[in-house]
Amino acid sequence: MATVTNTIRRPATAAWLSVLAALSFLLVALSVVLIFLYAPRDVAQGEVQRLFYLHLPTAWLSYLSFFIIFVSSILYLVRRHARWDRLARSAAELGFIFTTLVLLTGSIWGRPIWGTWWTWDARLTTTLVLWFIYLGYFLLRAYVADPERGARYAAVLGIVGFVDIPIIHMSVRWWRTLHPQPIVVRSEGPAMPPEMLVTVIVTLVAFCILHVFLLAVKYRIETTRDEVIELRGALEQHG
Amino acid sequence: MENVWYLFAGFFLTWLILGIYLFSLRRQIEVLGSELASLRGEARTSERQRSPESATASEPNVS
Repeated sequence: MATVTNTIRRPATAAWLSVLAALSFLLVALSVVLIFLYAPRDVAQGEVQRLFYLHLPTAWLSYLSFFIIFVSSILYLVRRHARWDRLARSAAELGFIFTTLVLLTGSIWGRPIWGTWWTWDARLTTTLVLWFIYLGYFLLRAYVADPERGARYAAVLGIVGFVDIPIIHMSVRWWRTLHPQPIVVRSEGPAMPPEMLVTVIVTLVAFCILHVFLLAVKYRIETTRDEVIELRGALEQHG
Repeated sequence: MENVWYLFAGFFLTWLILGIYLFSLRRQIEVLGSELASLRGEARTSERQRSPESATASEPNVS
């Protein structure tokens, strides 16, 4: 963490990144303690149900990442300022990681409970579609030769692709699915004991802060990358 | 209790992936940082080469 923050030049930025890093580490450690020592064992699913405490935050953060891409993409197309494209690129990488983790934890959880690693259930399928949308976002940027045009096309994909998020969320209501119905965000209130709810909230906050930290670091990296490209171009121009 | 292996596999893979990602961010910072420093050095050298009159003005006029 020290290396990460030491190479960031502005002292104020490095300071608050260090704080974020320390806070996320502490909260993640606390959440692990709560998951294994405080949250009760699920009567129906047993110990494997504790994967829920990773599965839910990673799902919400994959939605959040795409929401950031959606907003940044609109702002980029309207304002054409590089910072919005940088934010979208940074959020896309994180979103891809978190969507991978959702699919992974869901699959590992599903194997002992449903007896299968995968099923073409509406929730799982629409989440896989989201993973492919993220992949398409990177491929689009990599294979369009002109960086500005690539940024514009990626922004359009970022806006259009966002439509998958509400479809994923509503999939368990619209279609008959193997995936459980929502148990935290419900009109009747959360359907879980208080100890589980506390554990979910702490883990969610821990992952959110970790997400903010990773996004900030990635954004600084993209800013530096743009500076390198600009400087390289200027040096080539002046010989 | 036999499902506990799935639990540990899930946690292990999650933190492994996040750890690898953090490591890759660190590598990107190191590589880009050194490239930026090198380019800035080149830019300063190029700047000095392009303005020789400023270099000669700074030399003492010895007759």
